Amino acid sequence: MTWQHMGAGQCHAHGSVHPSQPHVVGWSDPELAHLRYWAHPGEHRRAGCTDGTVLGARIVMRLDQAMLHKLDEAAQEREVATMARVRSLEGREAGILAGIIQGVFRLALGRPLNPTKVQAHAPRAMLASFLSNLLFGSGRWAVGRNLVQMVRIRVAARNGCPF
Amino acid sequence: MDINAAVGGKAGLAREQIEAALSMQASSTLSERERIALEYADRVSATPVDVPDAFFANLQRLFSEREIVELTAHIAHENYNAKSNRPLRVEANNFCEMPFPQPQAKVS
Repeated sequence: MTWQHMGAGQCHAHGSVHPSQPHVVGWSDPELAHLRYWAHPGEHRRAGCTDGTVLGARIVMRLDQAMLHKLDEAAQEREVATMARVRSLEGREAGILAGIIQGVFRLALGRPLNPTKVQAHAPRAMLASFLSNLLFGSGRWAVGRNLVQMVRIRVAARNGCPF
Repeated sequence: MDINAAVGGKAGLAREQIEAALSMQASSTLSERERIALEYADRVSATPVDVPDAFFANLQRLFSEREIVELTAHIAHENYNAKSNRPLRVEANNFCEMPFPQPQAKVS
């Protein structure tokens, strides 16, 4: 039983269409076909679905209890890469340094950041990015925090960087 | 876009300011400093960098040397972030609930 990308369409769980992220994923088993979720964090939970958790570029599904008898234990939590071209690394696979940095973000923001999961492949690049962002993101700037954020939004938009 | 918009919103940026930064178009709601700073971000982010003397003189009229260096460093650093994330298709963490423009893929 595998994940499949269902393409654009309605979410079977709550019947709504999300305009900006019309990607729906679901199980290939027709008996589980109703377990389809938007590949969009937060949207699903706001719509009342509580058994799917989407983490940025990866999706972690926890199936509801009624369906667990159909799945082996290893399938209770599955992940599938939806967008990122490089596999996200977490936990033991990511290494100690990435684990610490992801832990810092988890404590500060409630979840590890997607770039960190990808950068975990190259620890020195990840550390450089982490430290530089830490420095640029802290302290007072003569030009003003608001203007700093405005130019950063503009640069990210110009480069088409959704993160 | 996502994390900067979320941080900006938390720091006190109005929705109009965030939308103006996203829109790539001149907005009447922006102050002259904001408008010039955004144009500077566009010019520094272009390849090759395009900051003519006349524009820089205008920038010096509105910003101190320290502010110009800070702006330049932030713009260059955000380019580093964005140019690291975009080719790898790193997705947003969805901290901000605003709709963002979809990235346009260029085909050469």
